[in-house]
This record gives sequence, C-alpha cells and structure tokens, in this order.
Amino acid sequence: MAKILLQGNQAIALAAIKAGMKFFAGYPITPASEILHELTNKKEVKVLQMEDEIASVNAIIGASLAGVKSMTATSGPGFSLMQESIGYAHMMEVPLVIVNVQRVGPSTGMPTFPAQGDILQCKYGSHGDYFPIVFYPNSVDELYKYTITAFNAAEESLSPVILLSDGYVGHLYETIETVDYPVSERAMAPLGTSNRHFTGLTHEDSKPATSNPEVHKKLIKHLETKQKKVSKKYNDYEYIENNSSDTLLIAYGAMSRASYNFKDDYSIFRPIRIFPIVEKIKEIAKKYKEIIVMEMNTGQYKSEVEKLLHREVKLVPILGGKIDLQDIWGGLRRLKRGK
Amino acid sequence: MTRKLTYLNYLKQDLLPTQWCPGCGNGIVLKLACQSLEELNFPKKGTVVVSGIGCAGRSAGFFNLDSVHTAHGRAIPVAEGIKLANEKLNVIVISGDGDLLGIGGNHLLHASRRNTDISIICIANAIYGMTGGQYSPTTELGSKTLTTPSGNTDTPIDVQALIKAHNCFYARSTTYHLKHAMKCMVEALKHRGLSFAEIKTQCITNDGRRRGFKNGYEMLMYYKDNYKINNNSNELKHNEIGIVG
Amino acid sequence: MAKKKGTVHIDHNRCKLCGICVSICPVQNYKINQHKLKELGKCIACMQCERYCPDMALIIDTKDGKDTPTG
Repeated sequence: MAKILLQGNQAIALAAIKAGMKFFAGYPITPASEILHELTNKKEVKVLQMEDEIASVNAIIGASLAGVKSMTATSGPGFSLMQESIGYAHMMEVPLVIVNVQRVGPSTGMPTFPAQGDILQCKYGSHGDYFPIVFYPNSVDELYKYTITAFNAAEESLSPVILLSDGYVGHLYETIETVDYPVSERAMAPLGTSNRHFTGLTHEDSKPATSNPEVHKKLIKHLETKQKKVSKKYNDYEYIENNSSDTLLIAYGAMSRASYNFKDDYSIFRPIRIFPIVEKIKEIAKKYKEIIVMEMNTGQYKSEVEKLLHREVKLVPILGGKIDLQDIWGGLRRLKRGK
Repeated sequence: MTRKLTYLNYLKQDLLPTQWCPGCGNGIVLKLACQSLEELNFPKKGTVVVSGIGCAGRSAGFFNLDSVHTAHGRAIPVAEGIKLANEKLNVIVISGDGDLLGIGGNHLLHASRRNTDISIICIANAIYGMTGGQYSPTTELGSKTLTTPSGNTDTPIDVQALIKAHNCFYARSTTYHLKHAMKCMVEALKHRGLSFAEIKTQCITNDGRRRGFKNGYEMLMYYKDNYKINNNSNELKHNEIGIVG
Repeated sequence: MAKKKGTVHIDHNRCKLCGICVSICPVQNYKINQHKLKELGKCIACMQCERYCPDMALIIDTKDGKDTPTG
C-alpha cells in the first residue's frame, strides 16, 4: 500500500498491471490516450498501437485467447467501432476489459469535454442478445479498484467487461492509496493446447450449429445465467440516505460527484455496477415518492431504471460537457414545480 | 488395406464432408494446407489456425488444432494478438480475398508494415461466394458477377505490390498447380515475418457459372491455360504464378 | 489400354459428385451413374484424382504400396 498522486487514466493503467494484464492494444483518442501513454513504458505489458479501434479490440481478443489478460481503452467514437467485436467476444466467451472514457457525442462532438452518452451503447451497442457487466466508478481511487474488479469479473464470467469513465474523472488528479485488491487468475486453457474451435457462429461443443434454434436458445440462456451469477458478486453501489427527503436522486460517474452537493435535500443513490442494474435499487426506490436521474445525456439510464422499476422516473439532463450546479438546481426546481 | 492419408490427421475428419459446394476449390486448399503442415511437421499443439468470415472462413473449424473463426475481416488482428501474446505459437491465417483484402484490407496493410510473424493463406476466388456471388477486390476487369452484370470496371487490388512494398513474403499459385501451390504454402509457413500466399481458387457455383464455365474442372483447366509458373522474378505479371520471397 | 496398377477407394459419404475426377482421369476410370460415383477398374495409379479431389473422398492404393504419382 502506498499513497500516490494519480490521474484517473493513469490509475486505470497501473491497476491493470496490478490485475495481471500483459497485453494492451489501443488507438489514440482524446480523452483516453493517457492510458496508452502510461502503459507504453511499462516492461510488464506488451503494448501495441494499432491502426484503428477495430484492430485493437480484435488484437486483445486474440491475445486473451492466447492466454494473457488483455485490455483496450477508447472513447465514444472508438467504442462504436468496437461494437461488432464486443458481441463476437461475448459469443466466444473471451475475457477482456474495455475501457471507455466518454466524451461528448454523437460523432466527433466535443472531444475534450466529458459526457455520459454511451450508457445504452454499453448494453445494446452490438447486435443480438448479450449481457454485459459494466462498472462506472466516480473517483481516481475507485477507477483503480474497479479496473481490478473488471478484470476479475471478466475472468469469472469469460466475457468482455466494460469499465466506463468520462473525460472528467479520467483527467482528474487525486491522491489514492494503492490497495492490494484480490486478483482472479486465468482459468481458461490458452490457445495451442487442444483442438477447440472458437467461433462467433452459434455453436455447441466447439462445433458451429447454425440451423438449430434449440442450440441458440441454450447458448443465449447460458450467457444470461453466467452474467447473473457473476454480477451477484459485485452488487456495488453507494447510498446516502436523507430521512427528511421523499425524493431519490440517482447519479453516477462525474455527475454523482456533483450530486453530493444536494445531499441535504435529497437521498442519493449511485450505482457503480451500472449494468446489470443493481437489484437493491428496487427496494430502496419503494421508500421514495419521486425518483430523479441526473445524467449527462437525454435520459439513457433513466429509461433503464424506469423499465426496471415499472414507474415514472424524472430526469435532469446536463448536456454539453459542462457540469454547472446552477443548471442542476434549475433542473431540480423545474421538476419540483411540476414542469 | 486402404492407405491412410496421414495429413488428414490435421483435420477433424468426423466433420467431413465439408459444407462447400461440389467442385469448390476450398477443399483443395484445405488439403494442401494439411499437407504443408505435415511436410514441415508442425506440432498440433502449438499451432493455431485463424480465419475470417465467408466460405473460406469456415476452413479453420475443420482443423484438429485450436482454431479461431473471427468476425468478418478481423482474422489478421486476432492472429497478431495471438502471436504477440505467445510468440512460441505458429499462427496461420486461412481466409478469403474479400475478407483479407476487402473488409480487412486495412489490417493487412498495417500487419505487413509491422511484419508480424504470421503466415497468411489467401483463398482468392475473386468472388463473395457465400453471399451469392458479388464481385470482390480481386475480381478481374470485365468479369461478370451478380453486382457487375455488364463486367467489372474496377481494377483488381494489386496485393503483390502491397505486400512487397513492406518487404514481406509473397507467393501466388492456383488450385490447378498443386505442387507449386504447396511449395508456396510451405515457403510461406517457413518464412519468419509476415508471409502471404495467394491461392487462386475456383468458385463454380457463384462465379464460374456466370462466366460460362460448366464445372470445377473447367475452371481448373482455365488456371492451367492462363497461369505460367515463374519462380525467378521479383515481380509477377498478372498471368504468372510464383514465389517472390 | 494401360495395365491396372491402382485400387480405388471411394468414400461415398464425402463425395459430392463434383465430377473433377471424372474429367481429370486420363483413362476415364470414373463415371457418375444414378447419383453415385462409379469406378471402372482401369486405374493406372497416376493419383491425379486423389490429389485434385476437393472433398478428400478418394484414396488410391498402388500395387507397390507407394503413393508417388506416375504422372
């Protein structure tokens, strides 16, 4: 354990090494590039700067299959390019960690400003049914912790796990304590030791089965059960209860840091494992007359929470990459007045 | 007693017959690849085959080795990841021209620039066979396909120039010239650094028939008549096959 | 007519009747009859069919047990 001043992106890089990562492939993109920079000089890690994000994610799929823990890091535009291969990795059950340091979109948007516009892309970005585990810490300390957690969850679930961050938390400097968190080891045998066939086709026992609906149903069920089982280990959230309030504020990532300013008037719930949504929220929500999600998009997590709770959830959207307490106050007041 | 084809031990023989059409050349390439592996005595443990999507992409699944069937066009970066994560492995990519040169073209460009030690066997049938016969990056000028009904007007990709520009290994052969094709593959597998063996392969169902061929045999004869072996040149003309090292 | 030197083994499960062997055989040893590949006992063990068969359905046994092609 040591005290150390780190930037959010640096913390991800150092924690990844701590988690046993041996292979990193990436493509430069603001605001995630520092992860690539930080790793470049580390002798424990093979670092590749690829020609694009598609190549990056596929290279780490190959490296992970070859037996080493692997990671890539990007921002929204690169994350969009990776989507096909993320579904592919779910289908083949390859453990990976994909870091997405979000910036304002759509498209090139505002590269140096933070946003939270990739929430639904994490869950629904690739085609077909898959069940990702997504963590979204809100401090440098937590980025360190949850990078290791993400690696553990990936190894345990044999699937790509997404670590979300944003331009704000990613570029934030904080002093942290580098705790020795437990690390899950690789269980899957590496390539070159057997005669397995890894395929993105619907398959059973290493053999493609592209015309049997029963095999496909079984496979999807397996992916879903596996995710449920592993995510149970990581029911991570923060709940600040305010007994005098009848309203629950839900915020995560950069926005949750702003939400702490309102704890005198509201209760605050901050999911850390944002997908699958922490079930505890159902129980907590019952106590409150009103639920408000504040996030840096036009209601992506709100719609997911609504779907889970089967009740109306209100929204304070903060767009354009600037978190201004006045804006948030204004939004909350408008909701109070019923507008 | 029936002689055993020992090179078939590199295949999962219970998966045969392949799902490819009658007369398809992919089977010939698959067989040649096994023969090359046998000739070089590649260990089954320690060798990995990677493929992309399409008819050719299905090849990987037949090998009795650890194999990876990647997303469309992504065989090369996956293979690079495997090789760089464990340099002891022999990593072989077997995929089609549409996969390696079309959708995955950028990866080939950069993998050859990096000169990663992988061997690429390209089943170049000049057509997107699995999707019904659309023209591919290696379709010849004037060739009639589903999407070029009055003849292809786009210049076929000069993959030789692309590979040679980065001083990597390039060889070209056809499924008619079996011994030559096998030599190309053996040399490609032996080469340290990136090697690319382009094997012209017949697709009778979705390419040959549109161009007036009656069966796979006629396409093989077309290769016989149209390609001349030239192993002593630094640059192959479009109707030559050979190894340019 | 060339003297018979080879014994043909056809794996009918693998054979897709593509006809490459029928055309490539220098002594017309094959024909496809009623959706089945037939061998006519004229094999000279040139091995062309075995080498070109895309489906690995043919094995030719030579009298002397060697698999080196004669042509």
